[in-house]
Amino acid sequence: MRIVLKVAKKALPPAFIYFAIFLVLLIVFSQNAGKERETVFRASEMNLVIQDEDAGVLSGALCEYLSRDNKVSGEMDEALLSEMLFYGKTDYVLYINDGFEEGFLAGDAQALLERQSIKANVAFLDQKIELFFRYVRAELAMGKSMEEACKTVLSLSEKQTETAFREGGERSYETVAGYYYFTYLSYILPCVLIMILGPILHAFYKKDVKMRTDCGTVSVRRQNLRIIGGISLVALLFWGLLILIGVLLYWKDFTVASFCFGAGNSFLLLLVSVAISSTVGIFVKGDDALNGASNLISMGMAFLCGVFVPGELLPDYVHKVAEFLPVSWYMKNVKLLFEEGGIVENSDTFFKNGAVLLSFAAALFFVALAAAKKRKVV
Amino acid sequence: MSTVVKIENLVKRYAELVAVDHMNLSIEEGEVFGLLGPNGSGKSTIISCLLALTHFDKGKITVFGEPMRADNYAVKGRIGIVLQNVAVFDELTVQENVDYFCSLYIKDKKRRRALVEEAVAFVGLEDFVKFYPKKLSGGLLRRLNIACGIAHKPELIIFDEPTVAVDPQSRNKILEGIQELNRQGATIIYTSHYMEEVEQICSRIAIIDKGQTVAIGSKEELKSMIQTGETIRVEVPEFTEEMLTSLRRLPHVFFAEYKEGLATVKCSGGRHNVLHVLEYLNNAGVSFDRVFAEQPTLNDVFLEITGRELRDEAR
Repeated sequence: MRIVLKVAKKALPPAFIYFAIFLVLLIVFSQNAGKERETVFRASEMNLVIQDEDAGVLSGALCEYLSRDNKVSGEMDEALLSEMLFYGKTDYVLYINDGFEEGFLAGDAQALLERQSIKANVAFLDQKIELFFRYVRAELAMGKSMEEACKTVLSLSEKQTETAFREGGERSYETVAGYYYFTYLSYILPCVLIMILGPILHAFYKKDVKMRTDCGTVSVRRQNLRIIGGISLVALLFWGLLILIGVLLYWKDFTVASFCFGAGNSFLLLLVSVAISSTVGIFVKGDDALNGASNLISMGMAFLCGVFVPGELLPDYVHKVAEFLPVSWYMKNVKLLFEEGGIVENSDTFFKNGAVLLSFAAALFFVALAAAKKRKVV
Repeated sequence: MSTVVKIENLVKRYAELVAVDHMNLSIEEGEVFGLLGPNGSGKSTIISCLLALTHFDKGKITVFGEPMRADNYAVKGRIGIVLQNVAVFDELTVQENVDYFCSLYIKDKKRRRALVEEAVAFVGLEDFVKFYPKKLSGGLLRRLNIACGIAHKPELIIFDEPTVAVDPQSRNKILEGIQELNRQGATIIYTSHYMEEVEQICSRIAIIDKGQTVAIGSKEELKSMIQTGETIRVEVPEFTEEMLTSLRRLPHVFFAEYKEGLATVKCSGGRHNVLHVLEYLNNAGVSFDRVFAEQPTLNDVFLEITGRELRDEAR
């Protein structure tokens, strides 16, 4: 076991670089996540000219309604209006024709309104006018007079409502820093373990070294147990370090139960990563090849399973491929940690996903064993 | 002397290829036994079977009087192996490597420490104990390879082509070391396709070809098995067929040819063969330049028995 640790020590420097990158990315992303990532929507003020030929209660109320969010100018000469529109000094001209109010009561207000604009961004203003009409109609339907209806609508519209868009639709967990911690574990665990455990297995199962050790008085089973013990210890130490980082930096983002579930989930991924590392360590020769395999496997799984890119942005066929990768099942459990109702309520699904992860680990261990047998190293 | 290794009727096949074909061999205690044969002749397969590293199809192998099996750890503990390729951990220092491989046989740490020191001193690596293998030259690596194989003081040491791609100085050191181990009481099995090495250190030699023993005995016994006793080569500018016929009539001469300015005469035993050849050339008025006389080599033995030459690469 001591020899395993010595071999692992030699593989630490390159693995440390990846670990450092992981830490930096984790801290940067999780700090970003802590901030409110909301975008406030507010309609921009427009230059508006209203030519009110009706001059009734309704047209007056409409002018007042529109003037609250826009800069409204009164009657103007037609030629001047055209010039102002052409040079962009006004955005929108609204003509309220004579008989507008009667037309409105008869259900045909739009025919008595004319609009002129050369800008495309006035649709919101049209909607706003339509909304005003709907409110007034609703008030009239309640039996109010035109004056009362307009007064009520104007008083209601004094209340300003801010509309906020939350990025990423309904996904609330992305604003939690701890989410990024457990998410990025799915990248760093296989990446670093392949880089550390690969050289250990490669060193012990090198053809000539294996031949020499097989000539000794230690049985093959005992040799394998020693190596498995050694790599398990290294893997557990690394996992322990990652969990410690989680406790120190992100404990506040979790309940005790959710952190324990998260740690358990990452332990299952640790088993999968050890199995992957064992297979890679037996097959792949040389430090450069091992490095390449580590990046290919960990980055590949991370991208396909929505670790770096939100799964919602990935096409369906990628989701289908990801179903066959252990990290996607790990990620399903990570998201469950932040689901409404808490992890305890979702524990059934969590355990089902965990069982799939465990099956992946078992299957990959068998692959490693078969690979070792084929290469006559066990 | 007791028999250390006994191989009876050994057969090992790899699919259609018969790597070892009904091999019989007996190696006595205290011998330096050479397995000589070209690459692919089956030497390494025999060693693998002997160490129970590979299953064989037929036959019986006994080592120190016990059947050799993969789980016969009592016997395995008395054997040391030095492989053709350097089989050490790049991540461990010289001392750690020797200690690790010694630990596969010796559990007692105190005793192991003494044995490791002794092995390191034996191969002359005392100044390099803290070095990692990548910092060692090819020759020093070979010495480390030997130290790892002999640290537990085995009674039978198998050297599988330990001098491949080694400089002459290191090779001599390795060969001297092997002889010293033998003097200290170890039985040695030495496999090589370099006949000079085998001739230099082995007390008995088995010539292997296509998985079979084609000849076995001391080097003198092997050489006496063939017709060629002495080969004489004379640089002659011109030589006629009549002259060759006359040469063939000389006592003990059984072969004579002239090719590219060199007359080659092979004699089977007898004495003063060079004198007889030179006397004839003088009498015939043939002017000649340099004269070479060679005793038969194991290559001649191999050539005469198999009709092929031992490959003697990189020499």
